[in-house]
Amino acid sequence: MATVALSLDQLECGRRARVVSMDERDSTSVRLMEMGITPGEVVESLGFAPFGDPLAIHVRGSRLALRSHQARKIQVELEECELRSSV
Amino acid sequence: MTASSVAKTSQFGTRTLQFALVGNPNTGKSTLFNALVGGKAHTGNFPGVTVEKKTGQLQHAGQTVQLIDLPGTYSLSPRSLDELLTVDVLLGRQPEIGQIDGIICIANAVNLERQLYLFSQLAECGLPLVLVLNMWDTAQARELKIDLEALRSKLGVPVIATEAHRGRGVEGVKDAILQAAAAGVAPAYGVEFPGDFQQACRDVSAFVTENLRADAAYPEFLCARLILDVDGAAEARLAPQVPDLKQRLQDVRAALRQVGHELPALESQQRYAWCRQLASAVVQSPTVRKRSWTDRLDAVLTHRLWGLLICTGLMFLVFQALFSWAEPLMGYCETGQEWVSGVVTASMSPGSLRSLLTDGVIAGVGGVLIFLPQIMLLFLFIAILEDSGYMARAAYMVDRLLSVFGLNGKSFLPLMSSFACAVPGIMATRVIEDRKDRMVTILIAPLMSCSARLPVYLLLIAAFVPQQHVLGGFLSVQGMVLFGMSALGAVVAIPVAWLFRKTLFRGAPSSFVMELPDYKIPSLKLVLLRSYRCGKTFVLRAGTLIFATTIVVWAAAYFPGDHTLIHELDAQIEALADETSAAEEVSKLQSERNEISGKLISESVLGQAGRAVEPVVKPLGWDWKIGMGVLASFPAREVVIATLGTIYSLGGDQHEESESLQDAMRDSKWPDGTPVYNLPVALSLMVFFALCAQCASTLVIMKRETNSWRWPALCFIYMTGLAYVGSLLTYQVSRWIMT
Repeated sequence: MATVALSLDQLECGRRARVVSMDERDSTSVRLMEMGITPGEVVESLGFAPFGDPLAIHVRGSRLALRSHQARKIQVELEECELRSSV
Repeated sequence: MTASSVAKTSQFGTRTLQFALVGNPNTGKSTLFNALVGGKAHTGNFPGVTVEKKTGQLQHAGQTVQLIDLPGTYSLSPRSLDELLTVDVLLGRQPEIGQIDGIICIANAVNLERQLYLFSQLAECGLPLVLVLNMWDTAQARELKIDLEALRSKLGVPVIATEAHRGRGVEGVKDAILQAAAAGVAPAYGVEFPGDFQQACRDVSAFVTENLRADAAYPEFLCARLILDVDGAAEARLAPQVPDLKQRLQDVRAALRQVGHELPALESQQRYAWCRQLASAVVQSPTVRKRSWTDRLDAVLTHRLWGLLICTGLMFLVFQALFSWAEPLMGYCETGQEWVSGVVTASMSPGSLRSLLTDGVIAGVGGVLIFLPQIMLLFLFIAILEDSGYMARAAYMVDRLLSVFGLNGKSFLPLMSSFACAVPGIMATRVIEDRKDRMVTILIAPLMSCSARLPVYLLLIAAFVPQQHVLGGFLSVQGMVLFGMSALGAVVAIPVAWLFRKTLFRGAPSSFVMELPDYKIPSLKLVLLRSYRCGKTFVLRAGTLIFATTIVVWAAAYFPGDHTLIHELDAQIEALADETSAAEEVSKLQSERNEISGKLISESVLGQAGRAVEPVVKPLGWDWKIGMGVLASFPAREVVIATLGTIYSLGGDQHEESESLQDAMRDSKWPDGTPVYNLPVALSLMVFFALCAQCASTLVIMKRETNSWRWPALCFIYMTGLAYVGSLLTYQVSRWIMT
């Protein structure tokens, strides 16, 4: 399956992607994992706040806000269906 | 639920059952708690920690159940000693509560999978559990089909669907509590951790138990936390008693990593795998996520332009409404105060006691109570914004702005609450995980314009700011000044926070993780209850602290001095008051009386102290009476009104036909006959109160939350300095502009 790797802060608003990996040593990442952002999970970007940060995502039925410097530590991949629709 | 299972509960005899209520934030936990205990809750604090202890009792089928409402949390992994308390209560290690009989886990039915994470941790505490799926109606509206029977049989615990805001399902929860307590068993179906990990937990437990020389084995649940939470609260607490703990845990973690377990990711991966498996078996959801109301509202309310405009507009509207809506209500309060004062005056002969009652207590406490409508309205607005889910959006939108000054979006709610009162505001900083962010937020919280300042602003604005409307009558000038004064502290807080972040609390930018809950119609009951509780606190304060200060101020202004002549004059005036022909004589006696009383007050203890401070406050445009009023208001800002009320009432400054403080202030004169108060003086006084730290409760709570007197001392010094300079500038500049 063709995939494109990027970090969560690069995900465009309205797009869905699968979490590949995250920086586990960071305590905030551990908190994010507890709140449902775990490797293998699909997240949807809901865009950025009015001043350009933080960003909001939809994951496991809830909306979470996090700052982009944290999102940068989360690697995601666009899935094939998403790739096709973006062309 | 069958009748027979309820009947079994007779086995508890007269013993009160204890159940803890635990759940994620935004699940309607407070609503369910209130519905279960009928709004009768006792709040306090657990000793030694800053966690609110909220308990309440319910009676069901002849059985009394004590409910303990624990703070909303996403996980039982304790990051702070405060969070560790939740775990302690659940494990029966909290001496004030003792062993509990079971746990009620409340979850939002809309995202069951995520909410099962906490449930999976609770299931490991070894206690009977009840799972409540709240917001059932919303789940139905989203076309989520949850098979309750399947969930019950899989989990082996009672599962109840509720709509707590409508009171639906609440009786079912009560039945389930008794059912769970009667069965007395913990759910058997939980997350299976790898054998290596389970063995490691047992090893650590044996190690800790041995080191503590304890009789009972150290709970495995806490041992799992010790292994999983690197530098967590469980480790921090145990480290002083178990010297080799840190090394031992490092070895255990290294060994687990060696065999391929990723720590700490292991926990969330295992748990969420379990949650997913369970949820997919019992929940049927529409394949495509439909655009919900929340999505549609968010598109506007967090929009780059509209979102910010609406946010600013909302805040502005709140302050405009405070002024225009509360005015008629305040009128009633004032009439009531005048009536009481009239009754007392009429039924007592002139003397010290009457003076204490009318000039001291009624003029003082009454002057503060008038502002009850405003304060309750402000709390009402805040409660509505919070309960509707809007407050989280506001935090989300301002996070970037606040991060520039080293704060974060989570500082928004504490700071916004501080607009009502800094005490709950400072307590609300507990949600900020980062210590530096939390400290800075605590230090600047008292700068937010709290409701105690509101009376001061309202009084001065009503008396000295022209009652004009601009922009076609839509905006009142008074409302704009009120908005400006309320905003001043927040504006000043920006550089102050930045400075703190650059000096005392330097460090890397912190994190911000926050859930944005679904929007909902605020629960009327909850909102009114919160407003009522805050109003009650305000009245209690007026009845105790302000009451006491008022009496002290009255005494200081009354003694020493011979008041016999005044009382004689009062008696004469009152005797003549009904005769219209004696009007001239009355006014002559009145002015004589005022002259004497003015002389008496300036010779009183208060007057002498006042003249000593006058050189310091004169550059601010204040006379000694204002200076004393401000000094005496150290216990609480709003006391200044009571103090001024007492000073003017005793000083005879007030007009004979009106009892109101506003008029007394307008009539107040310098010795040369020029009015004391004008717009620059009023502004200077308001700016002082906007920036000063005149609030003993705030300083005390700050000490409690930071565990040191150093921070309240710093706060008092920096705020008083700011207040003096700000007030000086305001007076001098505005006087220069006006002349």
